[in-house]
Order: sequence, then C-alpha cells, then structure tokens
Amino acid sequence: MTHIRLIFQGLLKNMGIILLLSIIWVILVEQFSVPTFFMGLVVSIIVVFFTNRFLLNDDYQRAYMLGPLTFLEYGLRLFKGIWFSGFSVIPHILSGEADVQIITCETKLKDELLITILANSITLTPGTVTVDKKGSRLQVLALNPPADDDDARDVIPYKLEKVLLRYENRIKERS
Amino acid sequence: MNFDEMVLIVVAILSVFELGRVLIGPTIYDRMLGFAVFSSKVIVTAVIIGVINERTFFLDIALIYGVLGFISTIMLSRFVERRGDI
Amino acid sequence: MNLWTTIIGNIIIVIGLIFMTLGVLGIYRFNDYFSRILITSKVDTVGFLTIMTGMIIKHGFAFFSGKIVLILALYMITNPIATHAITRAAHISGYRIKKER
Repeated sequence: MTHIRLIFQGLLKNMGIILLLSIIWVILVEQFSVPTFFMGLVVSIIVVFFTNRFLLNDDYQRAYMLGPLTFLEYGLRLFKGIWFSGFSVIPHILSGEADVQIITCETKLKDELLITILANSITLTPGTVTVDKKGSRLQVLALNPPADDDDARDVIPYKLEKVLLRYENRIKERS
Repeated sequence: MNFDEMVLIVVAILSVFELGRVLIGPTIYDRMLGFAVFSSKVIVTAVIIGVINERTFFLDIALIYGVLGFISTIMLSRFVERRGDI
Repeated sequence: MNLWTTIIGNIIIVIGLIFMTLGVLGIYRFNDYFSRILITSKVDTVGFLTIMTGMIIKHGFAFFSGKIVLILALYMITNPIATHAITRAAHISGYRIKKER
C-alpha cells in the first residue's frame, strides 16, 4: 500500500510537466473535447512514470523544468535579442568583410542545465557560436571581438545571464 | 497567383542555391552547413504547402522532417569528428 | 481571417524572405568557413523565425497556429545543437583560424 502511495506522490510532484504534455497531445490530435484530454493525461502519466523509473535518478520536473514565469521572460528576451542582432549583422553581409576570433570566457552559473541553456542561446543569436564547453568555461567564436585589453566576457549576453542567475539563486534557497 | 504561391516559388529558388553550396563546397564542413540550412527550407516549404491546400497533416510532415534533419546532421558531424568511428 | 491581420502577416513574411535571401547571398560571399557559419546560418535562422511568426499572426487562434508553435519550439531547441556539432567537428579535426585567445 505504501508503495502505491509513494508512486502517487511522485506523480503529484510532476503535475506541471504532465499538464504541459497533455496540452501538446490535444494540439497534435486537433480535437478539443474531454475524452481527448483524458487520453492525453493517461499517456503523459505513463511517459513521466517510466522516465522517472528507468532513465533518471532525480525527479523529472526538478531536473528539466524552468519555472513558467522565468521561461516566458527568457523566451521573450531571447526573441528580442535574436531579432536585433540579426539587423546588426546585415552590413557585414553586404560589404563581405568579417573579423573572426575564438575567445575563452567564463560564466558565473554553476548548474549544468542552465549553462547548457545559456550556451545554446549564445549559438542562436547571430554573431556568436559556442565551440566548446568545459565546466563553466566556454569557448566562443565571435564576430567583432572585444579588443585585447577589454574584458573577454563581453561576448556573453548579460541580460539573459542575469535572468538565469536569479533563477539559480531561487533554486538554491529552496533546497 | 496569390501571395502564398509566390512565397513558395521564392523559397524553392533559394533552396536550389543552397544545394549549389553543397555541390561546390571546398571543405566537408561547408557541405554539412549547406545541408543543415537546406533542411530548414524544406520545413518552410511543407508549412506553406499546408497553408495553400488547407490541410493540417502537412505540419506533421514538417515536424517529422525537422527531427530527421537534426539527427542526420548530428550523425554526419559525429562521423567526421571521430574519423569514421561513430 | 481578418483583413488587417492578413496584411500585417504578409508584411512580416516578406521581411523574413528578405532575411533568407541575405543568408543565401552570404553563403557565396565569404571565403573561409568560420565566417560563413557565423553570419549565414544564423541570419537564415532569423528568417525562419520571422516567417513562422507571420504565419501565426495570419491564422489567429487556431489548431494550425498551435502546431506551428510546436514546430518553432522544436526548431529553436535543435538548431543550435546542430550548428554547434558542425563547428565542434571542424574545430576538433583541425580547421584553425589565425588569431585565438
């Protein structure tokens, strides 16, 4: 009996990711009705249960989920950053000149998932591509690099890093 | 000819030029870059065909092609990185 | 489908096509690989995101837009990983550039 209660509590902890997966199921089936939603609920409960049981040592939601507000703010800032740096790259295409350099720099983040998200956003903005990552040290291929006596951390988008840093501090307080 | 069909024709012409980079690229990385950019063009093409025919299952095709292009790019670059040992 | 949302969506789609054309122009413009991947492939990504945003605005709140949002999320997760994999393969197998620090 206690076994079943433990499984139920584990599923209750992952309520957010289960709801998200059922909404994705409803969008894929293209029918907005109650039986469709319950079908999606059953399928996503099975998916989350087996992932927790066999693939992860941690909870699914603690390991792979940003908070919804953080996710929304991060996504909007990322979209704005991509759009504006896209405009700033256009003169280089028209003139055909580029000054490319590999820069080694270090982030303040410690969590592995957050460092990976930051590296992927660096790759997604035009003008910078992450080449290698070792711990919290990133090798970034940058267009128009900062001069030799400047700080090498100028290639990291500061605003995005600040959002992630706030989220990391909140996680640390909670645990 | 309405707006969506004109967009389709422009995207088709652009993807032909991407394939030109795959053919003439001096190094193998250029060829892989051309393939990765070409697969994004295929996704756009599938979505626009879905808009013109008003069928939503073309979007599922676009989703599946996105996954396929991603996996093939990762496997090709891994093959090159380890010199033939996946 | 409203008239005004259709017009705004068409304008945004045309902006996205201009970005994609610039990407294809850049792929023939530079002569070493690193500047090509830095500028070209990323400008192409901006074009993709813009065209999809235009499609969403054109169709309003429907299942069609929901599926496009799914495609957009998948693309924004997988595309940087693919670019990073190609560049890392080039870096590891010895494609070097003059300056490095």
